[in-house]
Amino acid sequence: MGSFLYRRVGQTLITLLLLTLLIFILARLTGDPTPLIMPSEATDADRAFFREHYGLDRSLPEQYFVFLGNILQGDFGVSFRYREPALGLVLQAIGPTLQLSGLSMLVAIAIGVPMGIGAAVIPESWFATSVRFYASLGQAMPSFWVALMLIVLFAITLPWFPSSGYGTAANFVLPAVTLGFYASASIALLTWANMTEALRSDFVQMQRVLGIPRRLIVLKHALRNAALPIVTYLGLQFGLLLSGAVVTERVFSWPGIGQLVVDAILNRDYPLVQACVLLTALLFIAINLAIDLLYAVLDPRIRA
Amino acid sequence: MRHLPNRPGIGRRAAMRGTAGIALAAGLGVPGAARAQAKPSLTVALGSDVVSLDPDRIPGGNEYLFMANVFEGLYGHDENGKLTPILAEAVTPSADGLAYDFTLRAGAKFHNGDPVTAEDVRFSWQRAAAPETHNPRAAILVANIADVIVQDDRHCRVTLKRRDASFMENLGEFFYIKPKKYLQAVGDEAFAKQPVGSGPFAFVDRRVKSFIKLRGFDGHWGRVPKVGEVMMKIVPDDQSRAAQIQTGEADIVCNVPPALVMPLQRLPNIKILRVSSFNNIFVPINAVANPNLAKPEVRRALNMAIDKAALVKTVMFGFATAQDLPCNSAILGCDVKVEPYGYNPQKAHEMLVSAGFDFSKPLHFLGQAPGRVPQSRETVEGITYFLNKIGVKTEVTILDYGAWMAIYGGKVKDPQIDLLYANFTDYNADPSGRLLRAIRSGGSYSWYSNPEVDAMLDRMNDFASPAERAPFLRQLFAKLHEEAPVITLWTLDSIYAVGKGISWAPTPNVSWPVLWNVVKAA
Repeated sequence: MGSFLYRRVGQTLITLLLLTLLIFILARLTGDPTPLIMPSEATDADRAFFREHYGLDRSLPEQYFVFLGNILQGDFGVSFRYREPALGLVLQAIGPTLQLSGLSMLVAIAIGVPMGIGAAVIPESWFATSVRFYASLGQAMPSFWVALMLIVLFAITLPWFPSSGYGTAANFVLPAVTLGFYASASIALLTWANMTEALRSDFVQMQRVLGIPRRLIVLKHALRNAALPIVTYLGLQFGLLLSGAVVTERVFSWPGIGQLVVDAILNRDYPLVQACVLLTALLFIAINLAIDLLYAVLDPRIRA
Repeated sequence: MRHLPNRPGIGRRAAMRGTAGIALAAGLGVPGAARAQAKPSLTVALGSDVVSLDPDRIPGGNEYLFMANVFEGLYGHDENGKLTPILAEAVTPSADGLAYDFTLRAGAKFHNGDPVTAEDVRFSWQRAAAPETHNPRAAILVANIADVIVQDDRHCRVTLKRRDASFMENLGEFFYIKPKKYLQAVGDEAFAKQPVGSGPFAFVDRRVKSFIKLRGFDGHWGRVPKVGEVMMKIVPDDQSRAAQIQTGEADIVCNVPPALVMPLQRLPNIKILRVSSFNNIFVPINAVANPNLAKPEVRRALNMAIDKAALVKTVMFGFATAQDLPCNSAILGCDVKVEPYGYNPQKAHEMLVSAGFDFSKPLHFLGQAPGRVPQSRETVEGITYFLNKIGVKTEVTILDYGAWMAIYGGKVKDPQIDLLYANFTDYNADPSGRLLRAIRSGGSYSWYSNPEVDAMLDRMNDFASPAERAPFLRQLFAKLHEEAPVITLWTLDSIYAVGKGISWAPTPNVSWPVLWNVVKAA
């Protein structure tokens, strides 16, 4: 278990190093930030100062090593636009994103897993047909459309929830359902497929022969065996929710990292782009590492 | 069940900042804070956030939605856009236009209770012009100030290095007065986080990309707001912003896209308010790099090819005013009477033929992706249609704002680009900032070069007074109409949706909401 852990941590560090190089290059490929950051009234001297102040006048390798050295000390630079430490801006935004992603995952699990189990247990039924329809709908409908429909229905027509914003429990409902809806569709299908396979396996047949109650077979034994790919998928899905909730965050004016990073990219705010991507990646990697470790706990063959 | 009014984040960080703000305000004895609480609160949904709260570090026009409500200059503009005394009561310019004697308004105070004095004016100039401040807009006004001589608390003399007929007009947007004592006590960085001005609203709190909270300043010298707390919510998505007014979560929604006006207008209890703005839409013509576009008659022909009235009606849903000059007619000098280009495709084609225009080469037209300016893509499509109609081929590229700006505002202009969709907002009625940047050779946004026009632009402000300059400006705009460096299109209307119980006359010719005159029924 120890060597597995060291190997995974080592791989993670190499991934992060490569990521710093990739994000550094990609940020600079978006173009020169000077015309965007400096107002048109700025003089040539102002523009030169801007480039010098942020080290943009140095060679790219030099800029990269300065960037690398700084992040090792926890310094992600100062946002070109906000003139505030990029790390502070990201940390301020990552809280709302984590809250929304976490709640969306709970919604997705709460809907998707029971649906998948039910459809696997009673495959030839109206319930299984409904699950198939729900899953198709969930995967086919774009999140911005779902978001707008939810606003029309539950904020305008039935004024139950705020249409957008952040701060109260009510603010979470519509964005969490929007994000959770899409994820729940995939989770339902994955659970259905894996549960079907588990329920057909020899050990489940044996347990039936032994007269173990069906509820126990399904929820304890079959579900545990079907859980491994679902847990992996949940980890990936959570990572996607962290970085891919841009549209939902925009529609619901959610002050999260998705909106922050998109605006930073559009405004060529290199330090902010780098801080957003690296911290999101760190989270993503940490979640995957945790999933790998959980996997190792669940399946002894992986520890070898 | 109806939800409670939306509240901003109450995370530990925000709570600490809020507490610090309150403690600071309490320590400094904010006058009128208690009384402001009793007034109705106001929620305004904005399309975009501001970047800087420091008036000496304004990176773009969006900042004025904050600055225009929290800070003030010596002179500014009233709700009709007319130049009017603000922190000064009166001014006496010298005959040579090199000195201005200001008498400050008695009773003008900063939000922390300190009186606005001549020493604050001097300090504000020193800070705004200091090289270490790196004020990106210093060159417009403050860099030309030679000295601010304090005569007593209420009197000061501002002397200029050279004559500047735009000086008075620019005071309101490019020379904000800051509190010397407070700023020196807290320092630049703390001031940028907790700014104190003298405007009708005091800053309370903000969360980047989420909200800005202001409070009506009852100690204001004259423009005392009739609302208490103002919550400016940042709602970037157009549909979501429109939903805010439908649900009653916002009292005022700014930047309503023209396409959403009609559905909102049909709803009861929602009013649409529209006022003209200085946000001008036009198409710069790359006359420098493309010999096909070098002749003025070719550029005039391109202007004649566009049916602006039709585009205003169909593309802009009527929420724009067609212009024959590249500015709102309320801009000084832009009211000159010129013969309209008119829509005449046949004549346009004939002019192009007689000018030897090469119809075989397509014009590369750079457009701006939707999101920043209403109907930007549709406008480009409309223009392309009319150009194609007279036989001019076009190749259109639509880029996101950042990529578009990198080309439009790039130091070296891309010779492959022939036409660009562009928008330009004047911050007041003075045209010099616009013309120097968008027309003069080497200007950040200029795709045109003409030594004769450059010479006129260089002496544009070298007059003792605006009145003396007025005929020259008209002559300049008449020359620009003849030269046609751009395809002129229209100025946009500012569109607001307001809810039940709101009575408000938005200030025309600005692109930001000035809120002190909002009345909300309790």
